[in-house]
Amino acid sequence: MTKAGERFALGLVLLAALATVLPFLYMLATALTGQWEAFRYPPALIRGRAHFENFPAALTALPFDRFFLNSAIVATCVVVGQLFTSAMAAYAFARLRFPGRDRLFLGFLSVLLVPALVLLVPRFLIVNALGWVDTYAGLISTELVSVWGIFLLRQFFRTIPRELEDAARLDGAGEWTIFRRVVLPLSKPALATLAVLSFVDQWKSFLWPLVIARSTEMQVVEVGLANLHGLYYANWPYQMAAAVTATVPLLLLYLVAQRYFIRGIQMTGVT
Amino acid sequence: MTALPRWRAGALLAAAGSALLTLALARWAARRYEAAFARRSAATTAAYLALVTPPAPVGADYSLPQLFIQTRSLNALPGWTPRVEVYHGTAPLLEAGAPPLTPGVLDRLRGQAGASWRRGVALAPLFDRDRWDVVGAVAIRPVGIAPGWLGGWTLPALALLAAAALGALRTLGGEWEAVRRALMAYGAAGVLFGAAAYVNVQQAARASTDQWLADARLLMQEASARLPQGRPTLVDLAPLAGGAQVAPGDSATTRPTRQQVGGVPSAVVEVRLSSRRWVELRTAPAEAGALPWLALLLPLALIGPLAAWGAVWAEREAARPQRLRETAAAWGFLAPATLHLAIFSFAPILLAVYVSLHRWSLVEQERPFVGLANFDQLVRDPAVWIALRNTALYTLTVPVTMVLALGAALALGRRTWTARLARTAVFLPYASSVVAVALVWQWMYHADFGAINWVLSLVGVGPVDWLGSPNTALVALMIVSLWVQAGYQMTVFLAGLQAIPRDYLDAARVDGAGAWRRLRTITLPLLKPVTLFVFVTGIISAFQVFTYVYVLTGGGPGHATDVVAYRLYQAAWAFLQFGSASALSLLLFVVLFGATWGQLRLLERRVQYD
Repeated sequence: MTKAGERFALGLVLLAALATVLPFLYMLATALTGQWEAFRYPPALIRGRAHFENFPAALTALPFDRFFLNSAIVATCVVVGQLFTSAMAAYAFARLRFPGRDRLFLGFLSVLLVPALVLLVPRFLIVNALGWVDTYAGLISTELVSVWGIFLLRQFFRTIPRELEDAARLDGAGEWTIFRRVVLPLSKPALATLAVLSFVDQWKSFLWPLVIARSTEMQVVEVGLANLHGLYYANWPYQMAAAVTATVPLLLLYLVAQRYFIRGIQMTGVT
Repeated sequence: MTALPRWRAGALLAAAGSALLTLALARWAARRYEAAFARRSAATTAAYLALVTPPAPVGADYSLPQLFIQTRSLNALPGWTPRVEVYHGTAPLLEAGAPPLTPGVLDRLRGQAGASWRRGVALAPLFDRDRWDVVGAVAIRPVGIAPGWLGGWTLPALALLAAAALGALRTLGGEWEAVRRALMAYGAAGVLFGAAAYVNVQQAARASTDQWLADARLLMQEASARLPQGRPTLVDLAPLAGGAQVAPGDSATTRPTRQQVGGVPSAVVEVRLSSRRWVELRTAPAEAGALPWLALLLPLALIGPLAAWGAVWAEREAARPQRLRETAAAWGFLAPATLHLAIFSFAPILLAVYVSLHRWSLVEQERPFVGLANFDQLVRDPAVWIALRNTALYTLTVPVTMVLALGAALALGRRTWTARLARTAVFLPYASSVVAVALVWQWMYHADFGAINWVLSLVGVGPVDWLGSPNTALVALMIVSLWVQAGYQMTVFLAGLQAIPRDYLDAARVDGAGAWRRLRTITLPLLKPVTLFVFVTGIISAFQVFTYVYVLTGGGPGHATDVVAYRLYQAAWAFLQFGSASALSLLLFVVLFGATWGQLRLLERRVQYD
């Protein structure tokens, strides 16, 4: 590209970046605006003092502390469960030889043929039959295995040199020991990647918690935020204050673990 | 080869156990239908006796001699099959020598609605004429509903199964081709056996409905003949009908038949009350709900063949203990994920198919089989077509976003700090709360006070009622989606671009190819797998968009933003039509199959086996 063209492209992209950031700034500014000042036109951001009291008021309008706790519990359990099941299954697929392995792996992958939405109703009926509606078990149980996770970890495990395991095997280590002592410690980056991705996915999930959690005490942040939207329809500063609070944990995680985040997304698409 | 007999003995044991368990389950299921018949029949009989027995001289109780006569004549009724006994208080009426009921039983009957079932006898409470107190009980011992252990086709099927199993076990350790054939035969015999057992269950289910209809018909006709004041009204007969419907009917066959009533399969019998008066008794046929038994019986019947297959394999592998150990370890590692996928991914698909063929609501007890009625309703529902159209339009965001994302990836692939900062920024929306994003956009879209209309007013456009007008609402949602997805797609494209060897581009540059030409002839072709992946996964997720619609528009205005996912949510959780929602799920499955198949093929290409 020519120098000028390059500069033009970069300028365009910076403009796009600005466009992605502006709504966030608008969210924050509205969150700090007085309830009636938000309805001034043309919209002027923060006139006079910043109304920090919007935050405690919005967050107690519905029990958001409980929502955050629920989201954290559910997301953490799902992450731990997915790491556990995915790593074990991936180890079997990547390292052990047994009849029908490749066909079974394809069978696992074939789950991806079924869009999540197709599973929504029957999964709900199963969870309902188990009596798990409106419980943590209902929110967590269906998410404990991720075929993507198995796929990614299998790809990663295959890159670990076999010599390390063979040495352990000569020392008489069993498969479980090799898995725990050799493969898992070497896979920390991959595990961290999967953990970050599945945590964020879980935190953002909306439809499943919407149908499973019935009582206020069992709601997660995303659904709680939507409920606040319904209750305080015209109070934009409250809604924005809650929205900011709901976004902060994810943005913090993104900024801290950006490397894993990006790598995870790139692994799903490319590797 | 000392291991040989052990594997063989295990397989033999599994074969016997599998056959026995299948028989036992089938018998148990049939007995359940028998019990259901008896309970229903007992309640109907009690209602009949309450209707026809004259009162005692004082109080609301029945005349004891009359109760005795009515009960005796019941057992003598032509065409009546079950054995009836009536307890007045706790004392048996017909067989005076039989043991009386314990007082506790009567108390329990008072407390519960309907009849109880114990030791092959159903007991229903007999209420007094005021329907206030329980004055006794009606006991029904059913006859001829459940086939015996080896009734129907099970005996020949069992003989076949045994022959196939012994044949398979005899060939064990022999030539592989012979073993394979014997195992196949055993498996086929297992399927046949499971099916035969299921046929018994199905017949018991059918018989339980038919027998009850026939008996209820007899009792209704008998009641209308005996009632002193002449014709019983439909209200009088309602208690006899239990949960069934009574409708005006006409003379027809007097045997129970299966008919479609309002699109729902029903079991129907015509009842003659007098020479001119016929009513029709309708109920849900029990056999329509018997299919789940097949899902239990078949796997049980196949345990034997699977065990034999395992024995064959184990014998072949016994010479290589390392391989045997590795297989066992692998299945240990795979157990949690496999079990979970079976319960929460594969079973739900079968369940969705099953539910879609039924009228299925969480609040109604009856879940009748309706065939393809749910699908028929879907394709006739204009709202479904609108939702499909909107969803298809919505997926247009995918190619648009891809072009922007690819452009951003090309421009931001460098290692300068501005590029990094811009990358971080563009990715932010994807890494933040979905509902929060939806809310801020809703605020920006606000028709009167929104920031977007203000910006537009500066250039003299608007105001536009973004979410309130059917013309713009869907576009408004698509813009939000684009804003969120661009960062994600850019990230994937960046990885794809990095994987392109620099040498190719440098060589092209040396050859004098311009930027545009390099992009078209080198970058894009090499990026094709990544592009396909982004496209396919983008389509799959766009087809399932829900949160933005739920938060921003609720499908409105009108149906302007109604999408498939929202329709499905409404069908299931607003209208409680889970059958219809399942049918819609399967429709979505079919529509998206091309995309998901593409995704699977792309992944498969990345998988190497050794």
